[in-house]
Formats: sequence, structure tokens, C-alpha cells
Amino acid sequence: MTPALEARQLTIEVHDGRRSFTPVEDLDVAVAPGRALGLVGESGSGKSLTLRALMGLLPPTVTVRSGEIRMNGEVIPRSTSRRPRATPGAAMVFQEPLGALNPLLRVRDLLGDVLRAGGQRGRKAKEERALSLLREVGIVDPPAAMRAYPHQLSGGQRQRVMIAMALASEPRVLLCDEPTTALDVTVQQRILLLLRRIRDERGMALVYVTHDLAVVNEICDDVAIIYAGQIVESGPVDDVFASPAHPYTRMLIDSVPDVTEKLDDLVGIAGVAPNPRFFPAGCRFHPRCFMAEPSCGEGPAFTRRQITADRATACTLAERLLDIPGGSPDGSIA
Amino acid sequence: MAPLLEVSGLTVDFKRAGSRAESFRALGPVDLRIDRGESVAVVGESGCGKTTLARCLTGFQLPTGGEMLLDGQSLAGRRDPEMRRRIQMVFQDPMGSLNPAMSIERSLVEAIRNVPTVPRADRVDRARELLAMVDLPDAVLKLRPRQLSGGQRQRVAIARALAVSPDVLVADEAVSALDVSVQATILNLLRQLQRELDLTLVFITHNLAVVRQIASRTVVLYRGRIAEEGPTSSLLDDPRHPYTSVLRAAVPSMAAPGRESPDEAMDDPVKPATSGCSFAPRCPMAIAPTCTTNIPELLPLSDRLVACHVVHGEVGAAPTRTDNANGPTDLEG
Repeated sequence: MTPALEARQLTIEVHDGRRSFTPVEDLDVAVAPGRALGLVGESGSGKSLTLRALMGLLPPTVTVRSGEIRMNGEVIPRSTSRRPRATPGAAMVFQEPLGALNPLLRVRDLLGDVLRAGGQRGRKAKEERALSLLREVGIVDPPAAMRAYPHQLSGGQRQRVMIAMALASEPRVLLCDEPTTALDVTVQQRILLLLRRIRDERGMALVYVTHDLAVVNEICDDVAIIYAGQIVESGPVDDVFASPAHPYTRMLIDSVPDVTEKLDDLVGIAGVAPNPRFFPAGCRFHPRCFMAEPSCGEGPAFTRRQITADRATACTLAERLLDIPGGSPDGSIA
Repeated sequence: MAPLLEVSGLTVDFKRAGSRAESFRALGPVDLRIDRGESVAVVGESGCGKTTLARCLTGFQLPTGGEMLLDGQSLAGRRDPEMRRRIQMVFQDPMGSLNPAMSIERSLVEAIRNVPTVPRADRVDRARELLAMVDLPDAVLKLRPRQLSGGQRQRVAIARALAVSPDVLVADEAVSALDVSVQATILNLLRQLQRELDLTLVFITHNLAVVRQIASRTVVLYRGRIAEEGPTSSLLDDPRHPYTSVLRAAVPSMAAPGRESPDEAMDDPVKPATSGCSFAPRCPMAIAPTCTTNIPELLPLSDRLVACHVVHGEVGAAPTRTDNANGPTDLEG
């Protein structure tokens, strides 16, 4: 099946004064229509930059140096001017709705603006469309919400309004950048359920960027784990979490405190993620890896390969890991 | 045995903007007893008063009413240096609590100066010792906060809090801003320090998964009052207060992906209750008029304390808990 949205060999360059560096390199990622992909990584891994590149909204000092982005198989031409151009068919939901919503506009005007930008004409038609979008995202009293300013809404309502604005363009892919990280857990739960429902109803694809593996487990079908600007492992959530094929995934899973049980020892990962200006040679994870061998510090930076039809890993030693499914690796560093 | 820390009837009111506006009760009344060496988590959502409680304990916030005792001595009003020493705090963002212009050595020595038993000549040695306690190498002494990673900075902040050998460490969302791989190592460190130093830990957080790993006892706050309090594992496995149930059911988990989730429900803003139980407007079990007129007392129930009329059978027969606990009626936005 043709992916709804796909990045091939994506390399993102950051221009920092006279120097430049590439925090994301040769990244491949794809999401199928109607499915939700979790893009998981820690701070500085390049996950948010990747999402912004997919949306076509990179800041001025950041550019796509090579690679391509395809929507339904068609290559999206890169913006040639300095003005960024949003990827058609994609829409985005941000982490902090209060920062993304103009505080001087009422919800009616916020929605009206995106509807007009999408070609909707006529005051009455826009009003009706706005009301139906607010209903779709579970706002209880849409007419009252239309009159409200962003600060008059609760955090959960603001996030719903932002989702309604994203839906106004009838996107085929909804890109979510940690949309629930700043919310209370009971509110997060309902926003996740909302996203799942509109994904199902609209047959939309969802790309969900987060650092929270438990959230991925709750809402996503597929997962791509990003480390130091590269996808180190990808596949269906259930398979990857049950039996990871990359030591980074394994260690990440073992680090997650879970509400259902108390662990005697949380594993954690010693050391820090590498600075994108000085990625280590060879496998970028090898300095922190519990299974690393001398050969891991050599060779190409990137060795991603399929291990089954729908799973891929960048670890050359992955087979060893798969022999101990679900078990905690010995010799890991706390 | 008398508890190390005893809080009774603690309240904090904040004035609303405007001189004649009525004040807003952020916390209380709260009663809490914490024994030496205990690890207690205070959990709740934004605005529940958990940070206000932490600030009262550490002396950053003067309570409006009530009493706080440490080893029987009052903590209210101005504290002498000795009382200040005994309760230390670790914040969410160590970048904000460490002076960016000071080397780690200076930051630590500055704190050690408050300990009269450490002679001036031994201060740097003590700084090294503190770094070793938090598993950082000596080389860190010469660095500045921005040269450290987030996890390393949080270790330094913990070392600095431990410099004065406190009895109580209050950690306010101390691991919330950290990546999960780093969070795990800091949780391990806190667990280990608590054991080795017989520290009393008050752990303020919104994250129930973290609570499970660190606290032996958990206090659930809702709108400034304690809704439920008890041993962490039984409270999380078998919540009694309907709010604890709602909270617990909302936590995403790596276990059992197909677990039953509540209906999405609508995002209805609920006005704060003006009388009765503050959770009643959101509560799937609330029964008028009892729940909407009387404030429930925090009363014992098996191994814990619960503030709920329905659970205590004060409104006729109590409905079965599990039927409603995950119900679709949680409406707050």
C-alpha cells in the first residue's frame, strides 16, 4: 500500500552562523492511511525537526538538504523561496495550544481564518462549518466556545480547538507534536481517545511525536524509534515492544516506570545523547550500548535492514537480542 | 513513636486580584504525619495544591492557618537556620536553582558553608564526597551548570540539597523534565540515597507511574484537600476514592494494551463546587444532597484514609466501586 506520508533519505541541515550540521540524516519514515505512527525519541533526537520537515514548516535557519517527502506517493516539491510552504494534505497540532493560538482572536475568528485560507466562502457557511468542527472534537457547547478567547478555555478545550483548526483543512495526515505532554493525565486520556476516534472516522493517518512510550502503546499502531537523527528501529507497536530488535529500544523500554508494577531496578541509560555536531563514528548508539562490540564503532553510520516484512532495525547484532525476547539484557548499566 | 513531620489543619489562602475580592483557598485543611525514613508521594493534577504544600514544608510559603511540626518543634513563622537546614528541596528545573555563573564546586561549597561542623579546609573534600554520593566524577567540580546534561544537573541539585545533611528532602517534580532513560537513573539514585541516609522523602508529582517506583505511601490531593491516602501499591491497585480511580484509569501503561478504556466523553468544564465535596461535580458516584452539601471527612477505611461519603456508606448503600470507577462520566476539561 502506498504510504499516506513518507520521508525518504531525509537529511536536515541546521545553519549555525558559519558552520552547519545535520541533526537528521538519511531518515526514512512512512505512515499508512488510517494508521497511527509513533515517532519516539528523547530530547535532541531530531523527532520534532523531522515532524516539522514533514509539515514543510522548518524555521529559516534549518533546511532539507537532501531526500524527499511524498504524500500519497507524489513527491512534494521543496519550497524554493525563503518562505516555508506547508505540505498540502497535512496539518499539525502542537504541544502548547496557548502558544499556537492567537490570544487576541475568539475561537470563531481562529476557525474562520483557517476555513477562509482553505477556500471556504460565505459567513453563514463558515459559521456552520466551524460549529460542526467543534462538535466533532467533543466541545460540549460549540456556540459558547465560538465566543471564547483562548485564555477562557481549559487546557483540554484549547487542545480540542487546535485539533478542530487542524481538521478544517481536511488533512489526510495529522501531525501531532507531543499534544498531550502539558496536559493533566485525565485530560490527556480523553484527547488520545479523541484523536483515535477522528483518525478512524476520517481514515486519516496520524504521526504522533512523543517521548512517552506508554502513550505510544495506547494510541499507535506502528512505532519508529529515533536516536541521534536516525530511525534505529521500526515496526508494529505490539511486536516492537514485546521483542525489540535494537538495544536502544530495549533499554528505553526498561527505563519506563510503569504504574502497574514496582520494579526493583529501573535500568536507565548511562551517558547522554550525542551532540549533533559530533556524532560518534559507526553506530551512533554504540558508546552507550550494552551489547556493543569493537566493530560497532566502525563502518557506516547507518545499516538499517528489514528483519521481517514490517520490521526494520539498524543494529547489526539484532539477532542476538531477539533470542532473549522480553527478558532484561544482562550487563546493562543502571 | 512520634512522627518526624506532623502537619495539622494546614491551610493556604491566596488573595485574588483586586483588593476587595475574596480569597481563594489553594490548600487545606490538610493533616499529614510522616515518619522518619518514610517515602511519601503527594500526587494530583495541576492546581490541586501539591506544590503549595511542598512550599509550606520548605518554608517558601507562609501558611494561612494550621500547624507544622518537625520533631515536635513548630515550623510556622520564621525558621532559624537549624530548622531551615533540616528540610531541603529539589526542584523540577535544576537550571533555575543552580547559579549559572558559579562552578559546581562554588555552588556546593556555598551550601557546605552552612554546616559549622565542616572546617573551612575540608569543604572541597566534602564537595567531592557529595558528588560521589550522586555518582558524579570529581571533574564536574570545575564545570558550570550549562556544561552538564539535564540529568547531571539534577544530580548536582540533589548533592547541594544533601550538603547540609537534611532530615527531609522535598522533591517537587524532580524527574518530570527529564528524558525517560535519565529519569530512571535519578529515581534509582533517590531510592538508594533514601535507604542509605535514612532520608525522609516527600515526592511531589503528577506521575503515578513514578510514584509506584519511589513511594511507600501516597497522598492524593484534589482541590487542596486529601481525597485518599494509603500504601502506594494497594492504593494504585485498588483505589477507593472515585477520584483516585479516575486518575489511575487515565495513566497510560506499557502493560496490557487492550485494557478497557472509558468512553471519550465530552470536554465539559465543571465549575468548582461551592459546597459539599469538591469532587462531586465530576464524580460518577455522587449522590445528592449529601455529596453536594457536606464536605466529606478523611476517615479510615481498611489500610487507608478516604474522604468520600459514598465509600463510607454515608448515603445509603454504597454502589459497587468497580462498576463506576472507570465510568464515562469524568467530565472535567
